[in-house]
Amino acid sequence: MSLSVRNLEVSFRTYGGSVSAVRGVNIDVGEGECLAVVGESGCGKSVTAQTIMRLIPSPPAEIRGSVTMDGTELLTLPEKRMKEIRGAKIGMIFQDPMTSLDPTMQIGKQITEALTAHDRGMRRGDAADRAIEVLGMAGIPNPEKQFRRYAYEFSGGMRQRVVIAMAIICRPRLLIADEPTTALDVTTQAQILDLIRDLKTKLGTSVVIITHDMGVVANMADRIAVFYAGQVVEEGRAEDVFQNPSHPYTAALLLSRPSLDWDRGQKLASVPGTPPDLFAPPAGCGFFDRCPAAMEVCRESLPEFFEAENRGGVSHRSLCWLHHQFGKAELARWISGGRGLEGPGRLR
Amino acid sequence: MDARGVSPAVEARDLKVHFSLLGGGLLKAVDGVSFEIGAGRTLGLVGESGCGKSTTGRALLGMYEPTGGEVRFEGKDIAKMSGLEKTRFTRYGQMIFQDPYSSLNPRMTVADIVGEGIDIHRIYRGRERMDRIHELLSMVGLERSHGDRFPHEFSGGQRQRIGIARALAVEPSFVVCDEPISALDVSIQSQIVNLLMDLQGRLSLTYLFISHDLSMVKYICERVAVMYLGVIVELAASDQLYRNPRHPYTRALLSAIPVADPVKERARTRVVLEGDVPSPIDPPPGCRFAGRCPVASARCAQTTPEWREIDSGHFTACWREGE
Repeated sequence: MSLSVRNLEVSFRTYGGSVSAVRGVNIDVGEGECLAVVGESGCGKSVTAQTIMRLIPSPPAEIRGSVTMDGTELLTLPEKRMKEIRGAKIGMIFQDPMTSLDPTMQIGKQITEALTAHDRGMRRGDAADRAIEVLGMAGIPNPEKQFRRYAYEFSGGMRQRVVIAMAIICRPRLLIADEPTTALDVTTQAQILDLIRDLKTKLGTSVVIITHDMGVVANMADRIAVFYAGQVVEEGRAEDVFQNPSHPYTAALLLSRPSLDWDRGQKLASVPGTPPDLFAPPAGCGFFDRCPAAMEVCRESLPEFFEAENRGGVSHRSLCWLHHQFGKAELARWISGGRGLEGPGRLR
Repeated sequence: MDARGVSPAVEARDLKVHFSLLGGGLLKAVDGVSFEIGAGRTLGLVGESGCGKSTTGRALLGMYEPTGGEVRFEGKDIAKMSGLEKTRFTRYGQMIFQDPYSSLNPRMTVADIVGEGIDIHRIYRGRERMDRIHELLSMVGLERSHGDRFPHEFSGGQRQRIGIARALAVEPSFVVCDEPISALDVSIQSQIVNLLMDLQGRLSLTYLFISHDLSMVKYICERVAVMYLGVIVELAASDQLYRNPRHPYTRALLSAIPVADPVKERARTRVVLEGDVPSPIDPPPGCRFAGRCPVASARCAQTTPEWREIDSGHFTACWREGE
């Protein structure tokens, strides 16, 4: 399985004008790989995922670019053929397990629905056996008994396991998990993350996990793509991005959460301001207003991708002028200033 | 008085809040918690959803009548306060809510929201009132002109600033922060946390900081109490609690926190808890955690463990501790 998203642009027309939710995104997911998409609300990460699944109706949305899976272009695929892919080849886990299940349908029926929709000839008994098997795989105790129960009878963590069972029942080659643990408590979160990791190894599925919490992906992701204001601003191997963030936004994101081994009194970096208004996207870098290392060029022109390092053939790159020839000197000065975001301040 | 000689501003003694349910049964949301918060200090209250954190916070402000035990504010039992004392207490104890979207009245301007408490307690009038409102807005990082706007015109982080200004308007000494940052984005969370800590220093506020975000709690609070199903299972200075957790639930909770460092994260061993938090309706006798505890013994399921001080300032309720 290989998925590649090229120059994806998604905008929505509203009464207030057009919002550019996704502004030229390129991502790749390889066989058996786990890509983490990290970013804050409104940065376009969920819209990207839903566009891959073709869940965003166009019109009214305007979608440009290309999404290919194993060489097949998904964006122009007739809906009938897309239905064969959705659920069967690409499974999706949604954020809120409370609203992604039908409250009036027994969970067993909901799970088998995914199977019978793709294979109409399948016998009901076989489908039920398979559903019980995946419920067990998803870590639900006594799946035979739970089969006839309704979503409201389960706790949040258990509901998310049901949603996961539904997503994997057709053995998809790609699993997209959109904030799968945001609605859950930490101990439940740990269980669900372990489960997704196990399933990835067991089934050899590629995984795209979307989250706003860098901690969640540290243990799972092979590669990370950091989203900001509808763009990928940094991309690379998980270790490289965590240890050597090359975009000021990523650095800020990592420093704005206290680590457990911090001493008390260590200063929490805080990024002033808020993300830009995507009704009127900035001409230059989206992070310009909030960036401690911003230069004059950042206001005017959108940076290109610059490669910060390349280890094991995996590029670690970021969308930042600091990595351009003339920005490098400033970057060196900024980093030697402790990378504490007090840096050189506004470079003019 | 605690070890550092700070007299407690707020104290809970064997506090219980039970709700009787329509279909019968007793929901023991808070079932006997005791702690104190020194003046100008911060106590963190952590635990999973439904463990009684918010109910405890609300009971401390007198929003629920305790079923048992008492809450003492500056040494006085709030249930036995006279009318005047009670009015005074409703001014000095304030709350910052979790959801900045539903905790602000959409039909009031920001100035009216912030000024409402000032009017109720008749602190300032006319010009002085307006000056005070502007002072509060600038204190929380908003502008004067924001006073004439309505909540829907603001982002989540800005709304939380309005909520903070409202809480501070009546010059409180004790503030319950009930998950004040969990609805916000990461980069905005740090802004609000820095603001809360800065204000605490300037106005010598006492905080009860309720959160499920354990790394943030460690960063903010001097002492931390861990709640499970209506009871506090462990309470200690935060450094001590995080370095040397003694209750099995605390250990599991700490090991479940994701660490934003792939190398460290992969090297960690995790205590994975089986199952979910049981229902607080008619809970079984014995230790509440016994059903999920990896080290539970027969005694744990029968008798409720005592609340003991196992180290100076380090309390826990666990039979297996020290065995």
